[in-house]
Amino acid sequence: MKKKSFLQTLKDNRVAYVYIAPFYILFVIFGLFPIIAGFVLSFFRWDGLGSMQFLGLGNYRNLFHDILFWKALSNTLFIGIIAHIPILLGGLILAYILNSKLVKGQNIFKTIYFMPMVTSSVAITIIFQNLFGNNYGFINYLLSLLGKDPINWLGGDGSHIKVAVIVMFAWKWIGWNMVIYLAGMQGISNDIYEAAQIDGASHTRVIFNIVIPLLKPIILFTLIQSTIGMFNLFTEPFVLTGSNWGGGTNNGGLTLMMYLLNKAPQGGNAYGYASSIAYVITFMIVCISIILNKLMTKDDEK
Amino acid sequence: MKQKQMIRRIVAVLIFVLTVTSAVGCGNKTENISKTTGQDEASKIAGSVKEAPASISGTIEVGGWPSGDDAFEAAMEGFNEQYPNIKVELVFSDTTSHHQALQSALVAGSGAVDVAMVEGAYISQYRDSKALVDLYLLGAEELKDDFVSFKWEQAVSSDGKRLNAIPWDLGPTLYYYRTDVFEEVGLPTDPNEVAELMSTWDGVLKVAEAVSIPGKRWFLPSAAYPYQWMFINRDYYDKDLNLILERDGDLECLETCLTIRENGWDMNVDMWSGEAYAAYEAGTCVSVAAGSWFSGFLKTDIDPEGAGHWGATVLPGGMPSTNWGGSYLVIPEQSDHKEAAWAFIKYMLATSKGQNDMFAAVDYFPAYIPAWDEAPELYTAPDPYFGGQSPNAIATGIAADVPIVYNTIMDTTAEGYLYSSFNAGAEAGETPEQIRERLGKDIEAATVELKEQQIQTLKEAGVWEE
Repeated sequence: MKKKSFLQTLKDNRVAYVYIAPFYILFVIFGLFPIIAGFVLSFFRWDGLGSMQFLGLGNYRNLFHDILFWKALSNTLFIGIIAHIPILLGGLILAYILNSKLVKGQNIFKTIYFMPMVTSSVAITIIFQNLFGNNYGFINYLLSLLGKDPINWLGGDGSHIKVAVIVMFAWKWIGWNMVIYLAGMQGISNDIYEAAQIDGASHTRVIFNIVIPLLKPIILFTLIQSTIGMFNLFTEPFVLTGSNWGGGTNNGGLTLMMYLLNKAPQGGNAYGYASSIAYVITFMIVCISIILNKLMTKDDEK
Repeated sequence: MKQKQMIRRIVAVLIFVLTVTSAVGCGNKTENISKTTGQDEASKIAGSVKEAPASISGTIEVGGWPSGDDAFEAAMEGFNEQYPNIKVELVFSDTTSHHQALQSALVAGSGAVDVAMVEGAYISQYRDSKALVDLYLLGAEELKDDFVSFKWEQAVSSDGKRLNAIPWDLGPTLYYYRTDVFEEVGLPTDPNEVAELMSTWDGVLKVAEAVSIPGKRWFLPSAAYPYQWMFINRDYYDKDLNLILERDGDLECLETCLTIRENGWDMNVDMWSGEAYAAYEAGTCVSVAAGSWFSGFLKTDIDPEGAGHWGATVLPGGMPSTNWGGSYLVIPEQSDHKEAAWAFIKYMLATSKGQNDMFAAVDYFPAYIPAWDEAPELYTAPDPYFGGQSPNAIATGIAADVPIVYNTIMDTTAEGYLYSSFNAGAEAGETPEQIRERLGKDIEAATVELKEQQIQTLKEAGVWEE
């Protein structure tokens, strides 16, 4: 009975379905199929060419015993969480300054701050590699002017490379966040700002009591975006460590995405294992998105 | 309020789309290279005309990375003379994307080029693959004795029954040094004298001390490299897949490395980094070792103006002859022009003219032995870039001397840790024994899954016993 009625609606609205079909056909081929195929693959051991060996949950089990996976996860989270402080605050403050018309040439600043987002990350990384260089680096040169010992940023014991990656990551995302916040701020009615001004509210008050609460959905959007950016972090640490798949000394710069790509398809050929990492990452992104969504919307419901 | 709800809904949809697309991005990076040639036309011609081998016709696509394209172009004239009806199209990209595209096309079953380059480090992934043509079936067996045996053996499948790849070039490992700096500090510059002086680790330290000015001029890019040279044949594992880290003189070598690091005689950077490149050119990094293809790197890329102030000799510290890299050519099973592809490979790699034309163009040292005698002047002639010395003559001596080694898919991962585990150990103030132990642990931890994969491949080949 039910099936028939579905066919009936299909028939009745066939023209409409034909119109929306192209998207769904492409989505099934390029979206849905790889998603499912990757999931299936995560239960096998496969080198991409030979025969597939079914492991059940073996890949996932191995993954949880894989110390490098945990190292990569903790590196990624550390880099991501620290970097989000300048990304969020910096983005908000820059957007507020531009929106409050304290400066002229809004569009010029917008373009400048947005540049890092659209520039090739390989090119950027090479510049940063020179900035953070051990013997000829600009930052070590500044340190020497201050009478400090140079720091081997990209080598050493592997702990300083995170600083370089955080700087690059934050530098890249601040501009993107700023542009989105700016758009959001311009959507807030001027009456509210004016009312605040008449009440004699300071800039900090305006930011914390008006701008941030009203921008919440937009902040949520940027947060989730940069969280995904965090999990996808690969090119920057990879190029900074001189294409070392282990992430440099003591695996200091090893990120999750680098670990995944090292398994397949760029470094190795462990397609099943790589798929299981991909699904763990996906699961984490979904969880974080849900948690963020809950946290941000909680207050509104009251 | 309604507006707010709307925003929230849009945000929710965006989040969903982003999550899904990022998940897809993670799991399946499949790139297909599309064929652009009039392939149908070519195969029609090939199918309809039955000709003598010399006039095989068709269009073949050849893929690889620079400077392989320059090499093929240099030898193309000779090839076209012999096979006027085969048209060759070069499809080149960088090393990483080339291997990725090749791998994707082999997995997908279509879209591969007809002849592909494969880098030496990847050969263990491809030697057992049924997606490549078994060249024994095309008569490769008869070429065996003409090729350097360690390179040939690396391409033979695990069960010894297949041969998927023909060796192109070798990389006899040479030690490159700045003759101008050596001269300045009163050291000999002649390759034989330098080799003699540095044949012991004490000698190496003497040279390191003489040439280094801490903070200004360094002996090596990183003190980790002498230890890496011990393993550069990529003979990390035996046939039972046991990691073999202990070898003759390794602790003395590590001791030397640590002394170099403690005294600040190395730059403590990667040898391929921009900083190291700048220092080679400026003469502030005095020496480095690499496969003999590095001569070409120096001449064309790193230090084109540097003619006359570089020298090259055998590895220091009395290390045995080793090989560093070098590539292969393969034919994917899916190719429609296997005959033409095989003719191409045979001409380029298994004729003296083909190999030597390419050698002259890009310094890819032929794995094809008859080529060495065919044009001796190429191998022994004084090279003006190297102040009239002949690095190629030294390379020839090394090439004949490299032992046969067993390669696995874990090798490249192991290689990465030689550098980073040494640095970690040196930073922690460890002894040579402790560093070696740390390296073993690091490699084992990083290769768990790869080893399982390798065992599965060997099992399929029927050569693995539990």
